[in-house]
Amino acid sequence: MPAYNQLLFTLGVAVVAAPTAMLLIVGLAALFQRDLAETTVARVVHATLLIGLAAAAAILVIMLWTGIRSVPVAMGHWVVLPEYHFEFKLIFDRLSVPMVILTFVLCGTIGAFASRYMHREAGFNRFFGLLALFVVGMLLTTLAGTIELLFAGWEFVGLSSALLVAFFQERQMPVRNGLHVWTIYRVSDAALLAAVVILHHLRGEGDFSVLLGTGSWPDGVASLTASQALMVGALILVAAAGKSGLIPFSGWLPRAMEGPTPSSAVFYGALSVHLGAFLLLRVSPILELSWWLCAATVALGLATAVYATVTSHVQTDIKSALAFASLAQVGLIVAEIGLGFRYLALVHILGHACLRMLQFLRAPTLLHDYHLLENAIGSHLPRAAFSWEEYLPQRVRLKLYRFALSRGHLDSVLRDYVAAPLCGCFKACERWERRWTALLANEPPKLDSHLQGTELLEDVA
Amino acid sequence: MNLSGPLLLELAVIAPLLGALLIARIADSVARRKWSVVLGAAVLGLVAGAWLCSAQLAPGTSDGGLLALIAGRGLFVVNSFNAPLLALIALVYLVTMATTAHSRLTRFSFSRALASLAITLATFASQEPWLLIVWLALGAVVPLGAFKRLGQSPRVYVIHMLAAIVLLAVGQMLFDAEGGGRASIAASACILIGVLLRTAIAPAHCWMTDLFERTSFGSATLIALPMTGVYAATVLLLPASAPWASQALGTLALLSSVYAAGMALVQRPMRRFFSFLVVSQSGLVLAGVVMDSPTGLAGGLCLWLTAGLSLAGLALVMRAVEVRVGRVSLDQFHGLYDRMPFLGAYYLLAGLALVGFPGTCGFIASEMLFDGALTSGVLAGVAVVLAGTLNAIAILQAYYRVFTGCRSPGSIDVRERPRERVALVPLALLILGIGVYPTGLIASRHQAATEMLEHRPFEAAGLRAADKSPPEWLGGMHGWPGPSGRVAQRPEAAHPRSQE
Repeated sequence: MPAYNQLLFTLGVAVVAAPTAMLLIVGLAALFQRDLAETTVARVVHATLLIGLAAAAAILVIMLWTGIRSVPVAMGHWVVLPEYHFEFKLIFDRLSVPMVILTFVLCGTIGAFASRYMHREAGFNRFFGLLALFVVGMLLTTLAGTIELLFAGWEFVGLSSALLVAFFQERQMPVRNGLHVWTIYRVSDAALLAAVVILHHLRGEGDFSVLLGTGSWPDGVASLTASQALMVGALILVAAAGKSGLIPFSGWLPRAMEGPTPSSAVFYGALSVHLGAFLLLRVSPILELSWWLCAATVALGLATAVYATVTSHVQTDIKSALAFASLAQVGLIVAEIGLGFRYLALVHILGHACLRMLQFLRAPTLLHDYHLLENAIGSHLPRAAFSWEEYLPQRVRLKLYRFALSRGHLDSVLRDYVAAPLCGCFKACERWERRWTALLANEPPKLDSHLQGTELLEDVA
Repeated sequence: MNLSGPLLLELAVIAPLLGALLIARIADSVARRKWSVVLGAAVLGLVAGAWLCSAQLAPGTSDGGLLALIAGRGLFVVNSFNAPLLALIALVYLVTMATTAHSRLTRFSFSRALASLAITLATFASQEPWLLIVWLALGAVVPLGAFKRLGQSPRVYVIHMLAAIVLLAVGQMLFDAEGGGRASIAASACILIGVLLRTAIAPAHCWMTDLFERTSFGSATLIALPMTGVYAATVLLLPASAPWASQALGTLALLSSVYAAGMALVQRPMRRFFSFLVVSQSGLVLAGVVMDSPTGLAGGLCLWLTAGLSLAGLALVMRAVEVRVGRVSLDQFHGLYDRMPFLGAYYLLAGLALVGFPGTCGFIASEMLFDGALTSGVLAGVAVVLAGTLNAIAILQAYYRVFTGCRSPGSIDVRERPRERVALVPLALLILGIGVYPTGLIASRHQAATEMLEHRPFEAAGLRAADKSPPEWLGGMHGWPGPSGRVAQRPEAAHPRSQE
């Protein structure tokens, strides 16, 4: 086995280095306004993702061949202090390797698709720069051997997501929706950061092999007490809920469809939307320590699945319908994790991501496809024969319809009971401050008209 | 005795003072800017040299210089704590002067900026309490010219600065009258309030927003960014204060950072938005400096530098935008990205660095600060996370308002000028470079933190480590770093002032 160690290390580094090179080339060119030719960008994207995929596949083959279940790739310490250290360590195991290969395959597909779909689009380079950031973020999150590294990747995914939602930045709605997504993500990030630092405190370091036991996934046994696990797990559950659009944060998912179709497909159909579920899978040894936590996970997953199923029935555009359909499956995946079916959840993620991305990519030509099919068979396509809603009383159906149409009032609850009071409070402080400053300056107070209204953040909530 | 470090620092203080006098005589404003930039670059070189020299000396042996030879006692000290801060100050002044646009040459006084640079460097190089108070007073006087130049009333600024200086002086007098040792309640209270006023900690922060509204953006930036009040706290308050004073300072600083971050969310004038970002970051830095855990303190010191870099980058972008389109209001979308893409991208980079985004200079600093805050208590940790979250939302909201949302009309080329690019690109490289390789910076800040803690009395720790028993909210967690670790084993440190 030691004979493979050097090879595995080299391959492990290549898995991350290749997309990082893509990020450096495309991202820095975009940052410093050095526009690369479209063909150059496409070649860089294809080449780096192929190299990464080949390296990941080679690692998988070696692991299967040798029977190794976990390959840690330690690249040294980033920060070393007596009380604090931050290790750059990757881990290839039964959870991360399938996710990495899935990431390379789907992002490679999107790269090839988008190089044509985005042809001559003003933000072509910006799109690929953000896609590169997303790929690096996904890889860091899935391969992270320490919880700090996972957090770094998590943040990369969030930023690229928020900026891609606002990709068509000359219009206001994408921008408002981008801010909405960012706001929810920041709440999610804050919860994860809190969990990261608390775990760091508990164990003195953030290495998963220490936090979750030395056994390889999914056999690790975390060495926390039930109450510690409940507290850390609750924070992680909030983080996962924000990232995967679970209740009560589901409102951002249809808004995120404002971005280009390729990014919607890979983010909200395939990878990003499953990241919360992946996080729960990674820390599943912690979840197992608390019965309450497992129950909460199952309840959250099932509630989200029911909510998304009901809501998806009344969506009038294909991308929103697909978004809620995705959410329903993610809810089920989360429930599976809560019930302890880890391999089932992993397989569910892999299958669902591939199917949903294909559906998203076909969405722009759906009507065209329907017409082709109908022309071929010479009549309209048959409609679904069974509809469970018909068995409900009329009054219940009406209420359910209203509930679904308003998307469960989740957005308005967050707006009316979180964002508006928060902003209202700070606006009141702003009025008092201006009066106080005017008093000190011996001048009449200058109050802007906006201080009476409710705009900015509440608009997008 | 190695004189090179303090000697270079003395030259770095004297050169801009003399330069200010000479440049005031130059009639041509473009020439004034050119010579100011040359002097600023020279000062940065001198300060960097002083830092390098001090790094080679053992702790406590850096006192000296030309004044020490002449008068037998040096005025300035350069050590592991203040050397990077001095470099940051010189850098901020240099890039601010270098990026001053032609249209602002009449509004921005280069001679005053150079004088301010000299005084600020002298302030950060002083560790004698009374000398520091004198420099603080002088530093507060210089910006008055910026108000006068624009015909604005400095009343709010003067009230706060006057109160701060008087309280600091009274507190120090009381402390001296007590004969050293632990400061009394009255002395601690006076110095505490003085520090709060000078640092612009809420509710004593109104002068900061007023300053940004009434003076030029460049002048206000130069006053705000070094966070002089935090330095005053480290010299005047923390080494001798009563425990309650340090704890109050840390608590108020954290509350202020959360409050200012929330206020930044609802601001319309871009200048006020920026001023609240400064207040929020000052609060976080001050909270970090007050912490008694090495990680938290090192995080605070690190954040001081990274926040300075990030805020400088943001200020340069906002100033450049103002020069092109006038004062910007955040109540509408301006869609400037297509017309100034580099500035837009740069704003995003600096803003993300400010909130500790991974891959930028602020990431590790924020994590360490949070780690230290959590050691102090769960509420401190919550406050740090809350401030970071609100700041991040506010920064992206402002980005979207200024750079996106519509197509900005106009066909005039308003992209960055070469002079601005030359100033911004090195800052960007620093932000990314430290983000990718933070090891050196973190190690130097940790060393400085360790040395600072050696001079702090055990009981005076501000945001204290947790009590001996682990907090209930963590259910008796394993490995909780309480005082039984570093603090209990540390020998009782003699207070430096009591030795005088």
